[in-house]
Amino acid sequence: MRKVEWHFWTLGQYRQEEQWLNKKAEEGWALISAFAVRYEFEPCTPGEYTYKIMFTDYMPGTEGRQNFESFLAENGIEEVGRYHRWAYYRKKNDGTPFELFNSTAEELKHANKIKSLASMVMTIITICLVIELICFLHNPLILLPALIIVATGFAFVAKVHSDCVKLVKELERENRLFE
Amino acid sequence: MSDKNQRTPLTEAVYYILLSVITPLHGYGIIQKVKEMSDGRLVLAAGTLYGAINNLLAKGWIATAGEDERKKEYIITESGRTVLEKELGRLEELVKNGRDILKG
Repeated sequence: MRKVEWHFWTLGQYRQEEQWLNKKAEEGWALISAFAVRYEFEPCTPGEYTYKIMFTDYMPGTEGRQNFESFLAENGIEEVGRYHRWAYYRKKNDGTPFELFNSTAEELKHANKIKSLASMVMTIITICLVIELICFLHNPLILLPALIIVATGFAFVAKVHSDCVKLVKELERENRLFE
Repeated sequence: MSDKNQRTPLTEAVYYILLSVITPLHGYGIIQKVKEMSDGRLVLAAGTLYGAINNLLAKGWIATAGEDERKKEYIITESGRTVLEKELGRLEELVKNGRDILKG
C-alpha cells in the first residue's frame, strides 16, 4: 500500500528535507517518487534506505546526467525522483553513512550553486515587479490582479532566496573550521 | 607546467585518489582502495569522487585507461605523479616538524 504526502520545502531547506525523508525511512516509509511538493512512499523495512538530495550539474536527459547516474548506480545509489537538475537519491544501508560529499567545502560549493539559481530568479522577479508597479501606477484598475500575482511570486522567491542565503552562511561558518 | 597547476596542498580525497590510480582502477575500485588504505576511515562519497575525477581528467593528472566505455578505468599521468610527489614532500615536512616538536 502506497501513500502520498504533500509537503513544501524550499530549495535552501534541502538539508531539513533530507532529514524528513530519512525519518520517514526509519519509520518504514521509503520515498519512491518526488515531484515539487508531492511525495510518494511505499512500505520498507525500517531504516532500509538513506536519502540524499542533490542539485546536479546536468539537465535530465543529457549525456552528462546519464554518465553521472550510471556512475552512482555502480556505487549502489539509485535515483527515485527528479525535476530539472534536482535529484533525489537513495542507498541501501550497508553500515557506512551515505554521503554525496566528503567535505564541508564541497557541500558549500553545492549550496552556492543553488543560491546562484535563486539569486538569478530573484533578479528576474524583481525586474518584473518594478515594471509591473510602474504600469500599475498608470492604470491601477486593470492591472491590480496582475500586480497581486507578481507580488505573491516575489514574496515566494524572496523566501526561497533567504533560505539559500541562510544555508550558505551556516555552511560557511562550519567550513571555517576545516581545510 | 605552470605554478598554478601545481598548487599544494591537495585535498585528502584528491591525494588518495591519485595514490590509488597508480595502477588502473574504475570508480568503485577507487572507493574500495582508499577505504582499505585508510583502514576504513575515509569512504569517498560518490559526488566527491565524481567531481574529483572530472577535475583530475581536465587537469591532465589522470587519464582514462582500457577500452570498456561503461566501466571506465583511470590511471595517473606523469604530471599527476609529479604533483603527488610534491605533496608527499610537503606532508613529510609537516609530520617531521610535528614529531620533532611534540615528541622531541
